[in-house]
Amino acid sequence: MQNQTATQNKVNELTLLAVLSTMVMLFAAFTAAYLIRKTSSDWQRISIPTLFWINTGILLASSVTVELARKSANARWLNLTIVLGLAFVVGQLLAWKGLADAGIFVPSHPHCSFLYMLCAVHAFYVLGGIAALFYAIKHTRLRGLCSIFWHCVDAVWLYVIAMLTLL
Amino acid sequence: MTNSHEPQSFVSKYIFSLDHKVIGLQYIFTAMFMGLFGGALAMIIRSQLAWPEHGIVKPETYLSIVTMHGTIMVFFVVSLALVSGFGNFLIPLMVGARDMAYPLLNMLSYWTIVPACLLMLLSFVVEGGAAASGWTAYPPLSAIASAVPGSGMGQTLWLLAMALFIVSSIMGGLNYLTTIVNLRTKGLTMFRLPLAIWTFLVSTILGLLAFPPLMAAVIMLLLDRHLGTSFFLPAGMILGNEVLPYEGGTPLLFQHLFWFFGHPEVYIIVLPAVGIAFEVIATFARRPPFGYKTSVYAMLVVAALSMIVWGHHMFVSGMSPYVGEYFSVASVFITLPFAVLGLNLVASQWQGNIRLETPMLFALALISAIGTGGLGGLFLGTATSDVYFHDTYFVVGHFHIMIGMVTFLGIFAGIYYWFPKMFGRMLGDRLGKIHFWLTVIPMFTMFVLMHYQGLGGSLRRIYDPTNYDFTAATRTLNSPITHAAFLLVFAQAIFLLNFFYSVFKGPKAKQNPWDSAGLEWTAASPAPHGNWGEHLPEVQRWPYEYGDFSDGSETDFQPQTQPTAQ
Repeated sequence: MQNQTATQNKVNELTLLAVLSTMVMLFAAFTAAYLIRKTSSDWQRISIPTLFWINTGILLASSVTVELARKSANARWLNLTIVLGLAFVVGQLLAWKGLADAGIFVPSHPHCSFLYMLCAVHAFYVLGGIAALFYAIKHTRLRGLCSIFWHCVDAVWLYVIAMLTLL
Repeated sequence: MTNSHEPQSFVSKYIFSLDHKVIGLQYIFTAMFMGLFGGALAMIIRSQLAWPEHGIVKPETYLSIVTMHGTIMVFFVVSLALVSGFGNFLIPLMVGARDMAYPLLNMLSYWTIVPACLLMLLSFVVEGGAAASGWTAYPPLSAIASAVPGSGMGQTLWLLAMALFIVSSIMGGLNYLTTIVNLRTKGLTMFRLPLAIWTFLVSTILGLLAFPPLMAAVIMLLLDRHLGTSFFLPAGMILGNEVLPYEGGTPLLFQHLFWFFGHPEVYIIVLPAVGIAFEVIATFARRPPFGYKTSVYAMLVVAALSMIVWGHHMFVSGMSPYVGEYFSVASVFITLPFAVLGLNLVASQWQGNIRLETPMLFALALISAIGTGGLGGLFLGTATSDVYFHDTYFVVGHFHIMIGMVTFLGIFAGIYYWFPKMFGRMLGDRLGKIHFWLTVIPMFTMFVLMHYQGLGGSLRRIYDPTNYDFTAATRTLNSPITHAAFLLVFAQAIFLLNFFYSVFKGPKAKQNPWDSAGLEWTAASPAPHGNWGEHLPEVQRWPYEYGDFSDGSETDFQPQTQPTAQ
């Protein structure tokens, strides 16, 4: 049985690596698209609303809590991470609403097209991460790998917001 | 990884099965089903080209038909059968595992492909018909709904179906990768794996890296179509009398994203066919493959290079000649490792004890197809000649040999070879040989003649060749090509009848009817749930011990599980 668990762990580690590779390739493709699209004359960068920065803070906090959850016996920190993750997604939707209220919609400018799209794709990964964390409440041996996935989703968000503000 | 209890109900045994063998067969049957549509579409194309004066379909419908023929054949027939079908069936059996690493994920990956297939087929009957922008779905044609009838709902369904296909592929890929790397049985080191498993491994890794950029392109194209963005749509486009409101996008971006995926994709489907050929040839030449390790390294180099040559599909897109020169050199470079694979297949027969069974015939024809089609690839991979050949029938002939012939011959070789393992019966041999000749001769005829059409300047995706003078030199070839196509379809009908008859009434097979040394043949035929009995096999050798009688037995081979002499 112990051998099987060790093998299963190796299997899960490789799966995580493969899933992260697909995530990296996806955002690499979006980066290439961004860099190419940016060269057109209609490119106009909009300023990122404050709510996005608050959401970034929420996500960073959730990375801290997921790390605490990894070492904890009960599920309290894990539950808090899930709550923070959901708060992030809700926050993103509110941020979108804020942009729409200001008259900035998906097709308004190419920069905000990327903003909306990258937020949506990233939120999809956040929801996947939340589902994994739910699964890890019961299956405690998966908490380590789920937390690594969570950190990577967080890192991708930092990358996205850096790209939108700096590039 | 405990062996799950055997499923009891019909639904859990045959519909939502978690058994990799059932799932593999589900993929293969689905590929056969989609192949009926892909083949029917091909016959409409060929009939239109041979007898354009009859106007069998309307011009815009013709564009839908070439689009869907390509899409269905590449993704929903070849990729489904080779990568998902054979991958699922063979990988656990060849690595000595009871099942895949994630059986539930495996089942979900199949049931994700089913709605993808249904969406593709549904697109034929929606308003405007199926997508009509080519299997490559280039914008602006694919991005403007009113550009051509198929660019309406049909193109949206196409994009959604492709998104589901990508998700299913990635789910399957996770299983293939982890099962091969982590679930090998005791004694099975990486260099004792069959070459077919190496090809599945490389194909899977390529898929995990190449499919996400296509997903990005699909997402951005959907946004351009439905939310008014302009990722791919430039300013100043005019439709009818009005200027469209898009600004600043570029169709070239889509081409780069598509072909960054598209070139690895062709190796994703060709490599498993080559792997199957290695297995079949080893068994029927009664000797190990020539250059096992070299073949492994060669396929790794092919895979790595395949990710940096996508530009050879875009030589006429206006790229700088320096960039074109880079892509030319890199593309021609791929010939080297790929030729190593082809030559190793040939050399694997040297001093062999050849048995010309039906699977072997298909595998040998596959080698011939690699050589013939590959030769044309040199001219297409070089910018200077490709400027002439791009979008001509030279390209069509080339890719039909490479991803039509090589892959289908691999599929047939695999089906005839592993049929006993799948169903415990032999696939009818006489009809098999007839199927072989009536497949190979028409295929070579059709696709080599297409090269001549391309040389003469005939362009692809043209509804009525008689409208254009530049097709005059070679349009008379359309009629013999179409006649060959009818013969080809007739041969596949023979195959399907033979297949389904043999599943139920074929002669019962021994456990190892081909006397193969591979690990999968140490399981019963058909392989039961859990693949082996109480104990998993322990591997002592590589799967190619042929031609050595020194162990004192009467057979000329030693199975992978047989202990080596002390």
